[in-house]
Amino acid sequence: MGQEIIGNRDADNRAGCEKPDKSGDLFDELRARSRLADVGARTIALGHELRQPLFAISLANENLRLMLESPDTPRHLMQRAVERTAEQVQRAQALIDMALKSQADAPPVPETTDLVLAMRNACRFLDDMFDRAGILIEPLHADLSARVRMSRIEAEQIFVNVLRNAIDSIQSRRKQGWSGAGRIVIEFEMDRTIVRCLITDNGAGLSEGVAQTGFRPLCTTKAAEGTGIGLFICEQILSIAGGSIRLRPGASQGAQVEVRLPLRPEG
Amino acid sequence: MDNLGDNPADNHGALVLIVDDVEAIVDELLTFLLLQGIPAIGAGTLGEAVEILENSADVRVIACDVRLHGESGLDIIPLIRNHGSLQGRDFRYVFITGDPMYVDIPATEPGYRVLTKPVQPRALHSLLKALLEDDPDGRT
Repeated sequence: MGQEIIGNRDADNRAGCEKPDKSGDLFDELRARSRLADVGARTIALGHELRQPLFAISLANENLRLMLESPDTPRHLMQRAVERTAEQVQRAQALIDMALKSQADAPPVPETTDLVLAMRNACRFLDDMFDRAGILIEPLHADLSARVRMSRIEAEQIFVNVLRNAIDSIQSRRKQGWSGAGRIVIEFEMDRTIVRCLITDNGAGLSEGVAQTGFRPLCTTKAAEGTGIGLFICEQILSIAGGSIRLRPGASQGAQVEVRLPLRPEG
Repeated sequence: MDNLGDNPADNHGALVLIVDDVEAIVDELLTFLLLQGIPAIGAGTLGEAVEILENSADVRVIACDVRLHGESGLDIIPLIRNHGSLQGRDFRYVFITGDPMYVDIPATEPGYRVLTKPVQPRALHSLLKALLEDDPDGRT
């Protein structure tokens, strides 16, 4: 299948039965392999992410079918199943859109969203997890507004992924015997063209090596679990929006994630 | 149907423990099992799962996502095996995964099944029912 995707050059070779020019071909081959590896990594990531909403939709549909068979099912329960399906279809659609956008030659007209609002929404989604883990979340400058070129769901996905990593890191430090208070601080800085968001935790921290490789697809510090999709997705979303994400050890403890995005001019 | 409330996780006498880090999946699975007459309870992490098992003497089947956030669902087996009050209990395991190629359970490990997302709900129901009835066909 790989040779089919490489495309024109192979078709030409088959038609003319010519030996390829070795120097130029090697370069093209390397480029093609690199592209295939990138497409493969994106496909794996998309496949994994899509199975989650598909499973939820499948369950909600079966639940609705079972409820319809029972005449005394409360209407709000059926309504909930319908809403769940719609919500998960939207989630799947956003994942597909994101994958297609990253492959498109010409970027489509982007949506805009308020990055600070997305952060607040993400914190709300994860509120139960913060409570259960006994972690204090400190969003500073939460009254700012910073419009950037990406959809609301994409922006929320970035914060959810980063904050969940921070929660895991604090839990991991506790497993090592630490009994301090878990804390995640979220700060925003803005100038006329750029918004910068710093998310700092006091978890187990990370080495410089992990800071450099953490955004590779399927890169993980725990090989058996195959994690590493989350930060890869964050980087892909931010890259499309013209932004960047950096991961580094905290000043004295924990880790810090820096997200930078160009501001979308009003109007 | 009257007992189908907004929080199915409040069930007492749960026979099945669902572990998944996607809240929507846990919610729908709990609702599904309740509609099928199988009392179940949900957890989002392995730590929560162990805590629930410590307090739920009736749970016999654990249906666990493999790729939990920051941890492997497969670790539920050694966690239980090394747990003082849980190691003596006889659990059946169903591992649910979106990446079947990454599931690496030792061939010698008894009493588990692996299902690939998106799992067909009726197939899951049949399997859980068989495992709860201790049907050998429900085991590997």
